[in-house]
Amino acid sequence: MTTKTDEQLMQLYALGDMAAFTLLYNRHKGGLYRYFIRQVRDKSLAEDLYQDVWNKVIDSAKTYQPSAKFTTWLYTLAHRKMIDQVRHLNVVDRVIVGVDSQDSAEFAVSGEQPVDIEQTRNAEALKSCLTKLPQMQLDTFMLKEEAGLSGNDIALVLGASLEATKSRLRYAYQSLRECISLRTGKVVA
Amino acid sequence: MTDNNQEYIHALYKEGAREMPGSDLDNRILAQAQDKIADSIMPTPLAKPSRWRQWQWPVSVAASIALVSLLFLDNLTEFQPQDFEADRALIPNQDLPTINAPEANEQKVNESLNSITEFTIQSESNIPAGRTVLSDEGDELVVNRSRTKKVASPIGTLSNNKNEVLEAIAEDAYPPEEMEQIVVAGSSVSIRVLDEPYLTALLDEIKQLRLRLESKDLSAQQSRVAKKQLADLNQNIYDELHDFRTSNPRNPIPEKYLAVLNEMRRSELEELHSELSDDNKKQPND
Repeated sequence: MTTKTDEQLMQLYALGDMAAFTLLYNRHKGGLYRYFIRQVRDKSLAEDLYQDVWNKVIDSAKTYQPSAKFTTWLYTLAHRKMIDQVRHLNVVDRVIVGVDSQDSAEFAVSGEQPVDIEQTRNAEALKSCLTKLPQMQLDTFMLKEEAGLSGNDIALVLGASLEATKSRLRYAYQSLRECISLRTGKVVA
Repeated sequence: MTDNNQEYIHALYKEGAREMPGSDLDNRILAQAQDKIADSIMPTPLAKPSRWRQWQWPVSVAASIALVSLLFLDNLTEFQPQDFEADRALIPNQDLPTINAPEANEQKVNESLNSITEFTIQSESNIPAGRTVLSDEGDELVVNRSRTKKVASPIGTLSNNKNEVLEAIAEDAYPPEEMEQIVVAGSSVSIRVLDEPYLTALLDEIKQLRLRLESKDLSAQQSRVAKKQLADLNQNIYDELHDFRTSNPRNPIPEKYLAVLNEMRRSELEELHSELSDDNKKQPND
């Protein structure tokens, strides 16, 4: 079962195999969860959106076509959910001055704690810097990092051209590098 | 931006990306999945389409032909001369009563009827937005920007009658004031609309940032970062307009979005408009 692709697991779930769905869910739950919480400040809203997407996956299982990559589909649903909600929110609080980083302690954390203190500090600085990114750049960055999508697939999800997607990614990484350098006082090579 | 930097940011991100949904949330979703299995019989997604679905197109065409034929025959009966009129016709040089023929347009067979098939859109299809599938079965058409609507398209004529496709799709899918240029490429059709909510949000952010900068309440470092963020926002606006202009060389861009760009960027978009418009003029319509 663990060797099956996402697409195969969806098909199995459509046939009534709950174990297949559980495996599929466990594979993608972390990435999708972080996709929302990084972009939506309100934890409760992020979790609502997260659950809505999975509900849509569940409801659409019987019509799912394996010709389309599952991850691309999943994050297309997520992206649509998010932009429908987030655009109604006040985006002004994304202006950098005086905005604190997200308190990551309120979210469940899994895995071992890093031993390297500097690495930890840099990782926390990165989280803070992510909140400063323009929304589209952040969205693009999250699709790259959490969904693991290619440039073409990201462009598909966002409904943008490949050139615009590459541009946004380039600016996102560049901005993050400079932001981390400013925050830590050390130049990121 | 080097690949090493990207790898560094990637590694750093993975280091800190540890947040996970709580067990309550997991359990709610898994329970929902279990309930779905229990509540409904889930047919295999690979099941053959129903017999009706397989014959839908030929039956539709046959029904259309039958309808048109009935209309034609019905009217033909009306105008069939009576026997006494036929007798009169045998008498040479005799005037026969004239019968007013119907207006040609009213009786004209809709030649395009046979080639039109309507596609039903599945609004939450897993086919990603931006890609369309127009097969012989004509199952789905997914429109960019999450807009999905019922459309009609001539079958097998995409490459030869582009304007007919554009008109048919535009008339059925969008009201004229919303219709953007439709690009037909081979068997794919995508509709690119200007993302105005996104652009408006960017303009708002730019406005707020400028106010902050003008207030002079920022430290030197904060001011530097704010200016950088302003440049990023401008870049995002330019990216969106560039993307839109590439797909829609003839459609105007609202001035309020162009106003935030510098002269060089505006010129680039204007040149793109000219180049692409000239290209469209040169290429004959299919």
